[in-house]
Amino acid sequence: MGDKNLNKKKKYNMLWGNFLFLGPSTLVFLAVVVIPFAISIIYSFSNWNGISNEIKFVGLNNFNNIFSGKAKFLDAFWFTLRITAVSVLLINLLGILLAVALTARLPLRNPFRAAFYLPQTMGGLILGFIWQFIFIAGFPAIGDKLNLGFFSQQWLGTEKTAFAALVIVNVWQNAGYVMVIMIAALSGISSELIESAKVDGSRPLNTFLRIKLPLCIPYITVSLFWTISSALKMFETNVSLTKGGPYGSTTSMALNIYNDAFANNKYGLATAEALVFFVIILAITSVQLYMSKRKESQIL
Amino acid sequence: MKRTKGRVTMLCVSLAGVLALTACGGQAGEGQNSQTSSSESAKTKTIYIYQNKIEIDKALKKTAEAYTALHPDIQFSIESVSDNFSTGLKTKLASGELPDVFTVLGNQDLKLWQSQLEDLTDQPWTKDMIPLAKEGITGDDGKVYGLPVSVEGYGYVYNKKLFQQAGISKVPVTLTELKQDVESLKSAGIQPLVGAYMDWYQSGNFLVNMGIARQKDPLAFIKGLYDGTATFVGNEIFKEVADFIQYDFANGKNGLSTNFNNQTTQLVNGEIAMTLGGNWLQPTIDNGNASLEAGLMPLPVNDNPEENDKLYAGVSGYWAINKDSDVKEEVKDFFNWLVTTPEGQTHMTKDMQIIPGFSSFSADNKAIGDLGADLSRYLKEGKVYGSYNSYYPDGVAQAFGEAVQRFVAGQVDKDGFLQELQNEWDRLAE
Repeated sequence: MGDKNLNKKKKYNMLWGNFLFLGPSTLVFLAVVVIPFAISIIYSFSNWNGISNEIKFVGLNNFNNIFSGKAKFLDAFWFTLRITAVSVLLINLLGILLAVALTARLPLRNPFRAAFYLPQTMGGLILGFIWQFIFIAGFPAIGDKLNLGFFSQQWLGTEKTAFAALVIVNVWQNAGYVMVIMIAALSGISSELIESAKVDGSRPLNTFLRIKLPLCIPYITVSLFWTISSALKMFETNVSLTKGGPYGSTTSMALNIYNDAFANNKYGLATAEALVFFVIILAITSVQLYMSKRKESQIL
Repeated sequence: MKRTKGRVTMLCVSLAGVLALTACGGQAGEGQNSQTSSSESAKTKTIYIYQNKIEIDKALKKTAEAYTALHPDIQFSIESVSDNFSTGLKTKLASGELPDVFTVLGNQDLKLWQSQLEDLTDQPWTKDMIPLAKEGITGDDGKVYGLPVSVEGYGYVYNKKLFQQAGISKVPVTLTELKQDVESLKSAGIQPLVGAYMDWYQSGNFLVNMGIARQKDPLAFIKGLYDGTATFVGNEIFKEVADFIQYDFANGKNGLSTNFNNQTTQLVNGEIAMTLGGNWLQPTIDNGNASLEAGLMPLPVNDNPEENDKLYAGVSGYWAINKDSDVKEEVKDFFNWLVTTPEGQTHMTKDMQIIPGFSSFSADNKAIGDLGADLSRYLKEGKVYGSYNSYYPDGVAQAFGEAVQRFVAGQVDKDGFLQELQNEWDRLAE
């Protein structure tokens, strides 16, 4: 009986301790995340323009406009899905290839690692502007000198090439990050395993596919999660490289929300879109995490 | 007992934590207070100006210094931003730091901001505003809410030397003449045109405006668009403008991957004979290639010289006063000085090199350069169409620009293009 009482008191004390250590950060979290989020839910049912003092509530109108395709959000969603699929695939493939190449005993291994990681340290906005210059002025100059039609086409001027341009910049920017994660993964594998595989007569490719890659699965989960969520949230590169053009065909979800909120002054609609955006990202990344975790537990 | 003590200590510590947090918040507020109180103690007041004409930033600061020299108790803090100006302004509003003076574009933008603006109708200079300038900043209640900064106009900016090289003696005022000139430029080996179709800005604002400005009664047409009695679809004037856009694009080079910088570089380097632009390009030309002789000429869409020998002009922005500003009376004095005293006027015309939206004083022909002088001449002769972008629903200019891109890329035909203009208007107007 006494013992139970003591336990209770201990629990009570723990509560105070929790309050002491978690209280301030919870307060901050409430103030800057939870409360604004709640307010944005309220705004999403209104037609507020972002400035005026009058706010009229319009029920589910904003959501109606989103899902009926009237608000262009669905176009942006479709574009974002396509570019996410392509760039996630390429970023991870290239990242893994680079990691494999740069864990081998190559001369100048470290400078190469640094060089491939470098784009990651630059801001997306700046990258976008630099690449815009390369696509508009650099590529055509090369194309004219060498007479290569491939380079002198209007890279940012047509739908397909603008899409490709965004993929190129995304892959170039982010492959280095995946490479660093995968280098960590590959160099963490114990050399005994590899040696015994060698003794058993496994060829290098086989060793890679059957032993190294499965052991790297937790790292791949992280890379996938990070690349998917960052590709879905693509904004700066988009805004500085193509501005959504030509004719709005490369407008990502985030850029679409920005346009609606700040250019079209449809703040209510934009917050509704932001909510849908949040749910979409949550859903996609949760499914991805669930599936890769299941794969992990199957293999490891 | 001991336990209670422990609990009390914990409570104290957590309270202290909370206090520390609030103290941080308080400090920021106090910082601001102390700033104002210290400036009050020295009896100086600061006017915070946030404006969107980046090219007059230096001149405006110089003007402000001159004013401070006359009125030592008035200081200025001037911020000039061109990209994302309105996003920045909204952010400032949201954080409760709305500037004392900021740029409002007129009409739709005025409607958006009107509830925050000081009524300036009783100011002495409002009677001197030219009608073009006054109508844009007059609210539905008939009150005037801002001071017009400058009149700007556009057409084709052309390179006089290249025109001479191709044997063109006078600027074309009809479409047929334009086409002949383009051919003679081509046969002289000169790139006749280039358009910045990669940006939605020029197509959405300048090209589509041609169709609206050329209507018999543009304001009635816009009103009709709002209430559904007028439409772009099948409009003869818009069909002509669409043909003109297609012609301009077809005789340009890589339009869809040319942006504003690219376009300006080609113009300044003398690589192209004509390009869409306005008198705001003058400072860039002066800085980049002072020997380039440029002029401003009309954009002819058919063969009637009277209809086509015109430029397009409007007021690019107004300075409005935040009605909750502590220094609004001081700002009014400053505005008065700026546009009613010879000294202030000189600062506007010589330093800022602008064409004023007032009848009481006129531009300095030397300061505004060739492009400004051409515009000024057309304005004096009354040969200008208006600029109606500020009447559009928010976001329509961008949507129009994208429609133009789709049109010149061959994604839609002429009728599809006009239909698209209509759809975008309807989508964003509601």
